[in-house]
Amino acid sequence: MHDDRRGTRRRGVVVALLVVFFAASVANLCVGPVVIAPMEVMRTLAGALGLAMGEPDTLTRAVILDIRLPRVLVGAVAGAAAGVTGATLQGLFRNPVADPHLLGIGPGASLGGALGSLTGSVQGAIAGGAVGGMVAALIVRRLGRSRATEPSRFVLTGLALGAAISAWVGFVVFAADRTRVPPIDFWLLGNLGASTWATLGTLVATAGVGLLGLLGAARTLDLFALGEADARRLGVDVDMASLVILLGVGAVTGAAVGAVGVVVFIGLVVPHLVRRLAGAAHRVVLVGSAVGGAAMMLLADLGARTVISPQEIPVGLLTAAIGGPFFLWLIRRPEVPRL
Amino acid sequence: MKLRSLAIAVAMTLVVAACGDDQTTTTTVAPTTTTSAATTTSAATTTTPTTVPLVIVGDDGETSEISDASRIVSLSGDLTEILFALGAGDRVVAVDVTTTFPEEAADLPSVGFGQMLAAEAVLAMEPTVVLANDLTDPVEAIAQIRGAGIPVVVLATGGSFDAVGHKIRTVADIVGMAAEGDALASHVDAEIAVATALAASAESTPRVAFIYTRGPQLMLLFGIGIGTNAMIEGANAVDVGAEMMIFGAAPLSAEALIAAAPDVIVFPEAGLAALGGVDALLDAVPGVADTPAGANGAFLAYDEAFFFNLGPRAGTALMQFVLDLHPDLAG
Repeated sequence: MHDDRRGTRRRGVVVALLVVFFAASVANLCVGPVVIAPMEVMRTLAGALGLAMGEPDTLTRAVILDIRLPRVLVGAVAGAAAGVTGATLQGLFRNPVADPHLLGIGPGASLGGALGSLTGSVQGAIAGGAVGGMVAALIVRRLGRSRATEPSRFVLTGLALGAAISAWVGFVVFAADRTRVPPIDFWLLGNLGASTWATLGTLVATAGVGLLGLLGAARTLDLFALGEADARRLGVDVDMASLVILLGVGAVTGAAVGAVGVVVFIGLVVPHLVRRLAGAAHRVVLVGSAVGGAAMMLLADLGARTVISPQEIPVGLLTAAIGGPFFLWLIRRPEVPRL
Repeated sequence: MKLRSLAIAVAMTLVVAACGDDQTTTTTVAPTTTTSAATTTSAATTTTPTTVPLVIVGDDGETSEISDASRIVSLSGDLTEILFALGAGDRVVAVDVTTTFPEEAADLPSVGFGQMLAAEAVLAMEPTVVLANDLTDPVEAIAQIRGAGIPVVVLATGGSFDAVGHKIRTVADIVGMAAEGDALASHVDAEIAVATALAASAESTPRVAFIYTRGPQLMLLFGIGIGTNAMIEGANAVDVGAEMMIFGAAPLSAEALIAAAPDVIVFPEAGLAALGGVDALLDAVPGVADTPAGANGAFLAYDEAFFFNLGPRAGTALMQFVLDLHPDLAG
C-alpha cells in the first residue's frame, strides 16, 4: 500500500518532468526570430516524414528542420547527459555536490574537445571530448580512492584538478588555430548554436551507449549508497563497477562537452530536485535526471535564444544564473536529501 | 537519415501533443490559428523574379547563385559601406555590429555580431542575399543560411589595398551595378595611388604600431593580414606588428612594445576615448610611456572603420594618415 503510493508519486514526478520537457521542446520549435505559426511547424515536420500536408517553403523547412530541430535534439541529449552524469557521480561518491564539471571531468572533456576540434570536424571534437572525459575520470578515480572519506576535501581536489586542466584548454584556444578551435566562452558557458544533424548523429553514437549503460547501473548505485563495504558484501565488484561507471560518466560528459561546450549546474540542480520530489532510489533519480536535465537545458536555451533576440547568448549563462541560486537554496534547506 | 526521420517523428508527436491539444479543447481559437498560418505561407512564397541567376564565387571558394539582390543583410562593415557608396544602400535590410558608417546604415536593424552569428537572426530579416566576411562564425550558421536557399557571399576583408577594388567590384556585380562599381573602384584605387606616391616622397620612415583597444582590459597589437598593415606600409612607415611577425592580432605585452620602439602609435578613436583620452593613456597602457611615441606624445587616433575597413574611404583615410604621419609633406 505504502509502496504503491510511492510508486505513483515517482511516476507522477517523471511524467511531470516529461511534460516540462515536451513543452520546452515545442516552445523551442515554435519560437524564434523567424516567425512561423505552430500549425506550420507541425506541417513542416509532417512533410519531412512524407505525410502530405502541403509543401512548406524552403525558408520554413530550413529553419525548422535544419536549425531548430537538430538544436532541440542536441540540447536534449546534452541536457540528459548532464543530469544523469551528475546523479551518477553523487551516488557513486555518496557526495551531494559531486558533478563532472566540479570534479575535473568537464575540464578534461574540454581539453579533449578543444584538441579534437583541431581536426576541423564536429566528430573530432566529440570523440576528443569523450577521450578527454574518460582520462580525467580515471584521474578522479585515483584521487577519490585515497581521500574517499572526506567529501569536502575530495571536491576541492576535483576543483584543483579542473583548474589545472582548464589552463590547458585556454592554451589550446589561444595558441592553436583559432579558425578551428571554438572560442574560450564555448568551453566556459556552452553554446547550442552550431548544432547540426552531424552533431546529433555523432553525439548519439558516442554518448548514447554510455547513457543507457549509466541508466542501467541504477541498482549498483543503490548498493553503493549503503557504503562500499556493504556493497561488496552484497556481491558488487566495487572496483570494477566504479571503474566502468566512471568511464561511462567520462565518455558521456565528454561527448556532450565536445558537442555543446560546458553547460554548468544541470548535474547539480536536477538530481537534487528529483531526489527531493521522488526519493533517492536510483532508478527514478537517473531517469528523472535524464528527463529533467533535458528539460532544463531546453528551457535555458529558449531563454538564450530569446532574451536579446535576434542575438543569442551562451546557454550556460542561463543555467548558471538560474541553477546557481536554486542550488544554494536547495543545499541550505534543513533536510539535505539522503543519497 | 534514419535517425533524422525518427527524430522528426518524435518532434512531430510533441508538436501535435502540445499545439494539437490546444485546438481540440478550445474550438473557437483553432480556426484563427489555421488561417494565420495559411496567410503566412502564401505571403512568403510570392516573391521570385525570374531572371538568369548571377553566379559569384566568394573568397571561401563557394559559388553563389543570385537571382534577386533586393534585400541584403551585410555582416561586414566594409561591405555595407560599399553598398551605400554605390547607391544601393536602400537594399540593405539589416547589418551586424561592425557596420558603423554611414549613419543611416548604422541605424538599420542589427543581427548581432557576425563572429557569433545566429542563422535565424539573419533569416528573420528575409534577405535574398547575405554578405559575410572571412571572420563570420560559426561556419555552421553560414551553412544553415545557405540551406534555407539564401546565397551567402563571403568576401575576405583583406590586408592589402588589392582587396579594395576586388570587394567593390564583387559587391557591385551582386547588385547589378558593374559600371558604377568599376568607376568607384578606379576612383578609390587612384586616390590610394596618389596618397602612396606622396608618402614615398617623405623624408622619414617612422615606425608605427597600431594598438587596438576598447579600454584598459583589451589591448591588441595588429599585424599582418589586417587593413592597418596596408595603411601603415602604404604611408611609407614600418608596421612594427608585421615586423614582429604577428599574423592578425596579438595581445600586447608592455615589454614587446618597448622593444618594438614605435615612433608613432595609432589607436581607434573610440578605444582611446574609453581609456580616458591621450592624457590618461600613459598611465593606462603599460610600456607606452617608454617608447619614442610615448616620449614625444606622438599618438594618432582614427575612427576604426575609417582607418582599416579597406572600403570606399580607404584612399581618403590613407591620404589623411600620410599627412598626419609626415608633417613635412603638409606644406
